[in-house]
Amino acid sequence: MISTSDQPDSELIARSRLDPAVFAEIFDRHHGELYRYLRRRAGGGLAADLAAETFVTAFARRASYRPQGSSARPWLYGIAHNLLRNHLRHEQRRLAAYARHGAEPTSDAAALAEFSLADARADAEAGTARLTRILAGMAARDRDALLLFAWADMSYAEVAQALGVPVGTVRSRLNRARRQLRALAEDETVIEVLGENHG
Amino acid sequence: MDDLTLLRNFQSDTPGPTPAETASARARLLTAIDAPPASARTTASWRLRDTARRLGRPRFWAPAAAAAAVTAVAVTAALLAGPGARVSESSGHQPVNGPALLREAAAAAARQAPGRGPFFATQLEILDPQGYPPSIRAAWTGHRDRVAFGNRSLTWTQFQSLPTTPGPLLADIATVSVPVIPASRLSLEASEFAVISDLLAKAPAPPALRSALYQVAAGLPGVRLIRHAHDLIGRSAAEAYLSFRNVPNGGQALYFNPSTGAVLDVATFGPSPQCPADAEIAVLVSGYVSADRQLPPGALRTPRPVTQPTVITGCFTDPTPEVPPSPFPG
Repeated sequence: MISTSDQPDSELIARSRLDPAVFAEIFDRHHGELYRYLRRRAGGGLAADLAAETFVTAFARRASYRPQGSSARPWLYGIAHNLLRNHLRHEQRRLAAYARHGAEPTSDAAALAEFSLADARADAEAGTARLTRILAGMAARDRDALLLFAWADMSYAEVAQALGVPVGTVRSRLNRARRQLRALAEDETVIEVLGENHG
Repeated sequence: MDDLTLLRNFQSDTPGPTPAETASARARLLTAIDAPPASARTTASWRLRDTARRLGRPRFWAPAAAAAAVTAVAVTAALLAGPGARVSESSGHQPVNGPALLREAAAAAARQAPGRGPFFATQLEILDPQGYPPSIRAAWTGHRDRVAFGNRSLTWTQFQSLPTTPGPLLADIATVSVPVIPASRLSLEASEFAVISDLLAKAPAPPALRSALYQVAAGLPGVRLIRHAHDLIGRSAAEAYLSFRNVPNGGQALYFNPSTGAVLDVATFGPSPQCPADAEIAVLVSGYVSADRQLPPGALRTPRPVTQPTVITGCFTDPTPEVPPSPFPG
């Protein structure tokens, strides 16, 4: 059997089209990191499911994978983002249905529909409410670009690949998002609180 | 603290997955890996030509593409040029799943002696779906020419140096396989299968590369095999076909001899395998020659006779005659 440990992701994915079991190596390489990213975005309960579904979806779509580098990270994060967005849309429809029928939505569903920072909501009570509000108040496309850049440590090019947009678009989205963020950074009180909690 | 540092620190202590979460996610993936490929499922009944109509393309598209094939420029030839072939399901032969015959052809191709000569010549018989008479064309590729490779072209040396192991070769093919009809919704596998078919039929591939091309074809999801079929001009063949995932019951077919690895024919069919193909090119003869415009031994001067199809309900063309007995065992 050929060793897969030193092969780039792109080669493994190509091989997996003839030998599907090879795709498990892609999971082993990226699942933990992707899970953490999704957990920061959507909370613990949803992250596990979304991360798992990301790899199942990626496996099903591996024929359409177009390597733009050796790493599959941007591709995987792009799939994860689509799943996250689909989930949020579903939750919003569910909330609308609840509203039509006069039923009370669960607090988790309400949080998801607003932004899915489930874990952040706990922190918000401890003093990060403003950061949470700023993130939640951003346009989704700006927020996605910003969080891929800041939390997934992606380059502009990788963010562009993950979101399926040109690099110039990523640049403008990041500029817009960071302008909103800077307003927060200039607020020393909030920075101090954040520094105590997370620094 | 700048804005990005602030954001990066936010929830930076988020824990990773527990062992149980990792095991559960991995199990879900392994279940998907073990499941049969979804691309093998197609059912409905509209076809590639309808797609062309929806795109506003005129019916003379197909002959135009056939002309392109003769000049060995594009893979579109295999998809759009000439009707006439048939598959044998209607006469009781059922398609079989599995890559066995393609792998057999791969092994046979690898055993062939490498050819030598400054030119590679291919003589083709092409049928046009609009009822034009069949025609014979030939194409030559010299050492200084470029070889069509999907949507790109390679020098002779580059082409002969393509990977001869299936994984890397498929990776290269994937990068040059785009839907041959823009926005036609053909699956990537259909495009890759078209590229492979075209290379096997017309390109100066050394035995190891031909073998690898067959192996890649054998591994494409959705490729099905018909052990006994016959091509445009009545030659017995094995047939591998791949349904266009989003053009249900349309598909691309490759007719070949598993005993030698030779390609006999490439075709497009639809709306069902019971219908004759609506696009087909038969490889009459191919090989290395010592001069431009020279043909290998066995070349024909006039087209072989074929039954001209007529349009019938449910199929674009009439079924062709009964399938002859197969020379292949099983």
